[in-house]
Amino acid sequence: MHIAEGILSAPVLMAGAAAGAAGVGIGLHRLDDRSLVKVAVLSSAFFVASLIKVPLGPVSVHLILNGLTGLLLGWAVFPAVAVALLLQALLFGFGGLTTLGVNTVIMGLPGLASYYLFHRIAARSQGPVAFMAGFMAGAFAIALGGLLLAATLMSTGEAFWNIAGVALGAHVPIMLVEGCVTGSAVVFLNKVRPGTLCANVAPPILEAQPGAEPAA
Amino acid sequence: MDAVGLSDPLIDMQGVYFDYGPDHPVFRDLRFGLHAGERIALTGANGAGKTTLLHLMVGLAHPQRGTIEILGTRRRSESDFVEVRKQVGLLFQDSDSQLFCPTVFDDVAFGPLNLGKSAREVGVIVAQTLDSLGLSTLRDRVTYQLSHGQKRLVALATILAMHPRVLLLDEPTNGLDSVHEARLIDILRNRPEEMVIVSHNAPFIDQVATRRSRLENGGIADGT
Amino acid sequence: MDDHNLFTDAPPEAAGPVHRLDPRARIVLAFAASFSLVAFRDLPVLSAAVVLGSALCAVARTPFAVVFNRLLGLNLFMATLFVLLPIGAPGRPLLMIGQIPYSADALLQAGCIALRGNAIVLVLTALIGGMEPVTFGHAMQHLRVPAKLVQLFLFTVRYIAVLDQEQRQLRTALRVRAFEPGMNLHTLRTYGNLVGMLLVRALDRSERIHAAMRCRAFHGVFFSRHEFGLGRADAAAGAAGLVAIAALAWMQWA
Repeated sequence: MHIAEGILSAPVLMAGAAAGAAGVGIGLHRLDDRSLVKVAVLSSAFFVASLIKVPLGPVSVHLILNGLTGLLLGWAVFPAVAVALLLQALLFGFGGLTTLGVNTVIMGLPGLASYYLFHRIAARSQGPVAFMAGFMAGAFAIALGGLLLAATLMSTGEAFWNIAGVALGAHVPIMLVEGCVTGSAVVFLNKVRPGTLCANVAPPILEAQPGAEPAA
Repeated sequence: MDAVGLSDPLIDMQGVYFDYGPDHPVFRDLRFGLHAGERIALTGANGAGKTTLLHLMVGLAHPQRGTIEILGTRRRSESDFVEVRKQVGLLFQDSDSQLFCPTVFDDVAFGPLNLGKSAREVGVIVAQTLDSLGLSTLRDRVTYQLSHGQKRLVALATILAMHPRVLLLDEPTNGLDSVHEARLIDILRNRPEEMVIVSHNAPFIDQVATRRSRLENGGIADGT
Repeated sequence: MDDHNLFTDAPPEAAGPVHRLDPRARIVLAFAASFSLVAFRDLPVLSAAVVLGSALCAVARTPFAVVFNRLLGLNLFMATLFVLLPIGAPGRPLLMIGQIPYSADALLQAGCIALRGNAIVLVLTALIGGMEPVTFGHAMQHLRVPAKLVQLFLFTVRYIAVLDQEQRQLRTALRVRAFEPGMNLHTLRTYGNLVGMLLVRALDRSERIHAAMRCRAFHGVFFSRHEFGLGRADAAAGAAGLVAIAALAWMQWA
């Protein structure tokens, strides 16, 4: 879910860069050194997880997981996404430097929205309710990301309206995929490591978790 | 290295109780002492609390009851243990967690820099430490490209660079091949520091340790 | 990307003249060049930019396979643009598909976008494509990027390879139990568990790392020792970049 280099006009890119920088700034401001380590290792995990391919009809899609990232990181989703995009550009040549801001917003903002909408219920439920909360968080983040992407394309010119429509349509199956994966991951986290999702509700993050490092 | 001052232990734990919640008790009235000149091998079943015991010594975990004296001073609060960690080096089981800096140099320099050494002093310390472990060629390598054995030795270097008084080693030979294990034995036998070594590796213990302690039933059963 | 071994398989840095430049100069040039290219909008100017970008890759001795792979991904997307963008778009119709016009103007626009995208990717590949992420992080630090962001970047780089290893182990564990990914709920649920397990391990690891930092007397300040030196070559490269951009601007507006 990113916009390639060469498409967007300078004003759109600048607006995206400004908004992305603001998100990254706020996200970083809220980190102390302990949560910085946590966010970094989770960013690595999400980067690695986004390399997983899921078969979808004749093609396969990579996981995006911006909803799950948002649930776990809150505002820190912005720096996490920005770092991941920068690394993708460096290592694989996906995306580039001019679109870094726009793409950070397209992926990060929906993650943050999922955090505010679904975090409370996802953190405090079990079983099917947790699955549904996770499903909604994952699917909603993709839907909003698709809408932001379509809107960004449409702002570039009327010629882009049909591309925007196709892009939006392509997000529907991805919504289902991401919803199911995010839902299952939330159920898993609440079962295996209770408190993982609560950690972001009330800082200090990750305080008071006996058993996080059991005796050898 | 003769055992002078036996009456004055470097680490002294008395009546320590620790649990990870009511369902997961670990220590009951545990006593443990490390004296000058000793290299104690700590053994025990999986889950007996060997790693936890090391963590208690550097304040990564805190006992529910009991006293912990490190280097002659009673230690209670996090700030007490901040001082302890400058003098007691803990080698983790998992080198990847211990080595978090981008390059070998950065990682070995991290501790000395935190101790307030100048950039020039740090350069010298890093060079000496790496040299003493035969790792000088790795100085500018990126950490994630090292082999398992190299990572373990670099992790040891990051601790030795802080010039600790005592070393705590958690399964130091885990996953090492025989070449790296032999090198580690050679290094440890020639170090002056007192050590607590958690290990299941009997030949390794025979060559390095001066005494054994076994953790069982929430306490220490001393052996020879 | 499944069997891509993230860093170890990354293309080795070509030992060309670009490699010898100060990393900071390469990053600044890459930013300046890509943002400048955004401003150009005529076919001849953008064609010239693609030629310049290719020349830069040649000078940098970027391996052909690397350039090809990066352009391939981009141009698969650009191909859909050529098909879709002109359909029903305003402007002179090139041909009619039933009642729907296939716009010549929009086709031209797609052409410009494709050229601009290719030019930007070529320049990026030549300038920073093979740069070691750790070097990139240190250069950012010297370019006054906020310290927390640089630390986040460097930590993330440090642990991607470690977690990638864990991810592989988990997937091997799935495979030996006869798991075959397919388009079904079982696959998605299994991947959800895999992601969850990866996150659990990552969180436990972050606790261990923070403990390791405290064990080494960390008190909130990171230090950098990396020194870079700007030299005559960097000045020359900067000047060459300026001349190239100025020439394109002259083509566009003069």
